[in-house]
Amino acid sequence: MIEPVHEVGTLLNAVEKVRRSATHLTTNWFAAPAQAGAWIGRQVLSYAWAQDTLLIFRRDRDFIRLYHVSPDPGQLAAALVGLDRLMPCTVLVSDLVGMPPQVDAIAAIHVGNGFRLYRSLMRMVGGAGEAGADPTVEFAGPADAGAVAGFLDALLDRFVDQPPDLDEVREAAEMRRILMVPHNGLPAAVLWFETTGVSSLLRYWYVGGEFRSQGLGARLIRTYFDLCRDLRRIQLWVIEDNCAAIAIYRYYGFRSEGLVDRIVVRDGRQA
Amino acid sequence: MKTVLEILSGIRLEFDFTASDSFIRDGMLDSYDVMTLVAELEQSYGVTIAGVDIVPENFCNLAAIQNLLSKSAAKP
Repeated sequence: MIEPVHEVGTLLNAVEKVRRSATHLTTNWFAAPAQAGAWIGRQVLSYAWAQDTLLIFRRDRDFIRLYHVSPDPGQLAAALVGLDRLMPCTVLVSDLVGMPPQVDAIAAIHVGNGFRLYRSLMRMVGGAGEAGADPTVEFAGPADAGAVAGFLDALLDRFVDQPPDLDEVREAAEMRRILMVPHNGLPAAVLWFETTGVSSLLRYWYVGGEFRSQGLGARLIRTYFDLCRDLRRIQLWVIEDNCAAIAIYRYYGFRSEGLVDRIVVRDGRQA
Repeated sequence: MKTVLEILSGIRLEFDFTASDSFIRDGMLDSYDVMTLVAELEQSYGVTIAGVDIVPENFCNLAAIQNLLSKSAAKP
């Protein structure tokens, strides 16, 4: 039975219960308590038990993000089989993050139980490269939020990129986390970053189709690097077979760190 | 046996973990790193860290991690 999560403590206790019985724990639930609390506040989290495996569901637009905490891979496989009865018509998406040998085994269990490998991402890390604030680059303000949200929504993959909603864009703009090159008041290129202490995540870096090959992306990244001068680490996720993007990131000094994210999708059955 | 500092440096080579009193706030560990750290601490020290103890405040600095290890070792 699927039940809504009302308190972070419910999840912590459930995870604890699995961990106590685990022989080869497998999980893709890495959310910090504060993040889980925010999702609970938005009423998008629910959970179910499949024998000793904890399944956590997060509603995201028109599909569900699936997390598991399972005592061993065999029990995870059994839980995934049971999902077909639990929610047969819903599209399910699972991010499986880890190092390739282990995470590929878990991805194979999903693929053997109704999921398909949708995309593979890899994490790249680096430090601030060629830095220099560009006068044509500006911070998006709250008034730009709608335009930025529309710009990103047209470019992002809902399963892979976790596109932000309008509130999230507005909040990021207020926190000065979005750089853009405007054209006639609208974003022609956008770079979204999230800095915590000495680390920064380069979340999105896009140039609009009609503005490509004009150096806008370079202006954005150099301005971003200028903001990152004192940081020790910049990280990003890139689709593993996007050779063009990877070549650009390498040019700017990023390197693969080994960590991958296998995104698997189970298409909902027709009702 | 690896020290806590050696384990942390293995996870994030680029940081000096002796120079921070709040690894999470300073962006030195993210939630995935914390889970990696838990697994490595359990393996190296032969303890089981309770799920309810896997919260940021127990991993915010070296002293907090040492306290967590002591607490986890004392549990049956």
